[in-house]
Amino acid sequence: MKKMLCICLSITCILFSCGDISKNAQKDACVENDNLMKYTSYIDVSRYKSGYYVNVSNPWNEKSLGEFYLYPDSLELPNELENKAVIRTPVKNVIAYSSTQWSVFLEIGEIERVKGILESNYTDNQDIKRLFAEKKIEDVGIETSLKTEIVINLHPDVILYTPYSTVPKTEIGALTGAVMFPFADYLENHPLGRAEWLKVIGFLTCREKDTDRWFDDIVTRYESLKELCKNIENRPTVFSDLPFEGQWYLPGGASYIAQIFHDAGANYIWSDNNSTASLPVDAETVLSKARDADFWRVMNSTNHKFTYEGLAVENELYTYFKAYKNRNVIVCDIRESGYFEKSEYEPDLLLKDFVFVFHPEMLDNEDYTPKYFYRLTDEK
Amino acid sequence: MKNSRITVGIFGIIILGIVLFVLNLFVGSVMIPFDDILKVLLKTNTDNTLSVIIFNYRLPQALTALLAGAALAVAGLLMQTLFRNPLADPSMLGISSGASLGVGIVILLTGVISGAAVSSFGWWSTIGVSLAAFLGAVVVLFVMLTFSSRMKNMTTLIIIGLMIAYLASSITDILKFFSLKEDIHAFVIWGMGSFSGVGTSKMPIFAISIIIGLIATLFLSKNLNILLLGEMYAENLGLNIRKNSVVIIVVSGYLTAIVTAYCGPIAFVGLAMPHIARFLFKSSDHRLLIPATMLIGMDMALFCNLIARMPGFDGNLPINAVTAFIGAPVVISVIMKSKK
Amino acid sequence: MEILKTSSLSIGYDKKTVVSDINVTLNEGDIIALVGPNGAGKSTLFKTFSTHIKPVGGKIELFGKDLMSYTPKERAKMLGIVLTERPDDMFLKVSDVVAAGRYPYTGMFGKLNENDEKEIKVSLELVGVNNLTDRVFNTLSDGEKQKVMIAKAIAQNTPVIMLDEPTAFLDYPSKIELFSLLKKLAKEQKKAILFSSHDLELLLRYTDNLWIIAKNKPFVAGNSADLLRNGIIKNFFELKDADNDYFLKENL
Repeated sequence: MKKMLCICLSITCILFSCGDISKNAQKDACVENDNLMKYTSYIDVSRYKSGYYVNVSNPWNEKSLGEFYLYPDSLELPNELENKAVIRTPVKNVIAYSSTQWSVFLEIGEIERVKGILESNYTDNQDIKRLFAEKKIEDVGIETSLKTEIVINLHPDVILYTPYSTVPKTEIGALTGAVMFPFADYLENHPLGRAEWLKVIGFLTCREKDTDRWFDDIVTRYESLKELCKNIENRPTVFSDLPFEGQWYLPGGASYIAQIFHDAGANYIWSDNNSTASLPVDAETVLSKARDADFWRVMNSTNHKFTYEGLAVENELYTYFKAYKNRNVIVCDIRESGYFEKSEYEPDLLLKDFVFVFHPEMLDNEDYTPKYFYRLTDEK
Repeated sequence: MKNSRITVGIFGIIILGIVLFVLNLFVGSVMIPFDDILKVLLKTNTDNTLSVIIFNYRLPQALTALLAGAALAVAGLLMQTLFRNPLADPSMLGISSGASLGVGIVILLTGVISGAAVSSFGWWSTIGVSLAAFLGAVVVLFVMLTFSSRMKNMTTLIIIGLMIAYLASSITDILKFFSLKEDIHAFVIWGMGSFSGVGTSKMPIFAISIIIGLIATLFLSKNLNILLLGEMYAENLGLNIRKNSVVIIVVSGYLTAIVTAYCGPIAFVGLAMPHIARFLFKSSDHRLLIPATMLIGMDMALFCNLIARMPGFDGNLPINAVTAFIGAPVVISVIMKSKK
Repeated sequence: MEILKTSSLSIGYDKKTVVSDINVTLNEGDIIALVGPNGAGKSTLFKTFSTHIKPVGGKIELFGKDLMSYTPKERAKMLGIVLTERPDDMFLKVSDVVAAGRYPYTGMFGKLNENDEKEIKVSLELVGVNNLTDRVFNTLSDGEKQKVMIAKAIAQNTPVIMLDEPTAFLDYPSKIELFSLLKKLAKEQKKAILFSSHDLELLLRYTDNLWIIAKNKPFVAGNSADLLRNGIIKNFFELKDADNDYFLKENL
């Protein structure tokens, strides 16, 4: 009996001491103080021995969305990482929740590592369609109903998911044994911060040199355009979006698109608002505040082109806006331009589209074809 | 004595309606000082922002509230008398659910079919949503008519209506399950109800459709009065029960469908307003109740719209939240009173 | 004068016959009690006469014409009913209920003209409820409600009035009062009155003619005294000798 007690006690002691060790390891000396992400708010990446230490945070609370260690598969895993969330790189079988994830794999030629994607029927991407036809990529359902059995059968080592404040998606991780990696790109409010998430795919595939170069090019182009417009005196005003059922859902003053408006040398009408989320605003408030705005940016997710007549049919109120009268509505045809898939990693082009509308003289009147946003004209 | 009570009552409701209507024009998220309102009203400078807000935004919204309120309230009265059930309203026949399903199909399924979220669909969405709601309501109406022409028993019909409502909403839920987040969001917003969907451009068609339905209800008053005695007596007095039920269901379904199509499924107006009319005038004569219920419905809708767009904050409260807030206590007090 | 006549009439629901081979006549000024146990088919016969259900077989003639050949409006002016069901609306007034009797005679919006108002007033007076005109129907006693419903049937101005279980829920004095009212209607207004009841004792005492109905038994019509005397009532209701003797002594 005494013997038993002794054993029990010693086990407890061991357990406690283990706990201490792991706590200390959290701010391990091996995690270097060199944040490799310069523009992001919700992800930090530091070197850790021969790998990386990644911390994904969230805007909703203090708690982190997860800490991860990326470690080359070719090297032996350091002992202290045994009980951590470790992703061995390069990753082999990836499930990608969003097009912003797989489009990077595609771009850097690592798409064969992606085995399953969600909401596949929403994409027009020809490469993805071909891979589907060749059964190299599987459709694993949609956010609200994942095809769990197919996911398990794909033996994923990493599942890149889109984190929301409400539902944590952990069951699928437990079932597959894959590491659930929160890809919080959409939360970033700086265009370059959002684009920088492409580097995460580089770390996961051991192609960080290529993705670093890719991102640096984006930064160079973006910053130089921004520099062009920085000291412009004559800044036009702009507002955004169309109402739904009498209510406008305006981007907040600290949002992604508000940042682009600013960098393109325009003043966003709601820039004094500090929110990053969209604001529900009554139509009459928008009318009174934005009626004299110079430009009006709208998104079109239909297959039909917008026309000024069509907009007037939808809502007669539109015709009272100065931007409508002066034919200064800026449109993005979401589907045709592949906005959701591609624009995130081309913030420089987004910026250029707006500069081309707001300050064409800054581009030396070059013959520029807009990629995403263009000024809607009366011509057919 | 009796007639003077009615005159005073009706007059009071109309005055209240006018006051609420004017308040609807003068009050909103944008504060407009009284002097400026007078200037706008006196000068016919139509391009002034304030005048656009008042005449092109608030006025159509107030008119929509007025018409929708009258239509829903009177549709509720018709249902309550037909089914001799104080808690009957158009949603009971599954008409609202049918409209919701129609909208659900457009909002939630277009994403799947066209591969894009309908949420930012622009003018397509508004027209598509209206049309879908109307078609959904009409389909349910048609199903209900088929049943009602075969069945004389009103209780059976109510149960069938409830079952159709469940069926429609479960199909909607299934659709939601497979839909994009943006589309579900759009559907939820539609479901909150709004009087601003009509606007000036669609006002003529909306107003004419509603007014036709409202006038039609006036011709039903005699038959509705007879129905109060019970079906057997009504039948003995020469009323064709089936034909009459069909006409009443068509008229109230038509009104509900149009309002739901343009404003979303607005609850409680149809349920609560007829009771206010009955208690106010202590009458069961539909020649009085029909116009009285319409007027009270107008006042109620204008009041709710006013609350929803209270000055001081930028956004709109969902109309449904406001109508439920006011309608639910009315319904509860009716139940308490009638159980005494 | 002959008002209503049936020949080889079978009644029932759908195709199921409840009672068959009914051959009766209802004449002007007749007051006839339809008697039988519960579930024997009294309501079925009423519903058949009021065309709520169709006869399973045979014919019903109203003023020499097939009952079904009249329009609902025409029938409404010939045959009025008083049922055990009562309107239960919270605000329905006595005047509204009686005015409903004028429904077959009014125009599109049901507006009452001078004549209608007069008929309503006369009906209320005849039944003796003119003091209740402005009361809410729902607040009346059972006896008062019964009277108002009869006033409605009188206002309907039909040669035939049918009453389903009019004595149910009434206390004894009210029952007596009701029978004298019905007798008055038959005599003074020349109406044919048919009412159902299962209160044999009361019927034998106050009515002259009986129609006896029961499931799977032949339909019997005749003078109540005769039916009692020749033992048909005794057989039909399976009365004990003592009860039968009591009825004989009391009613003959």
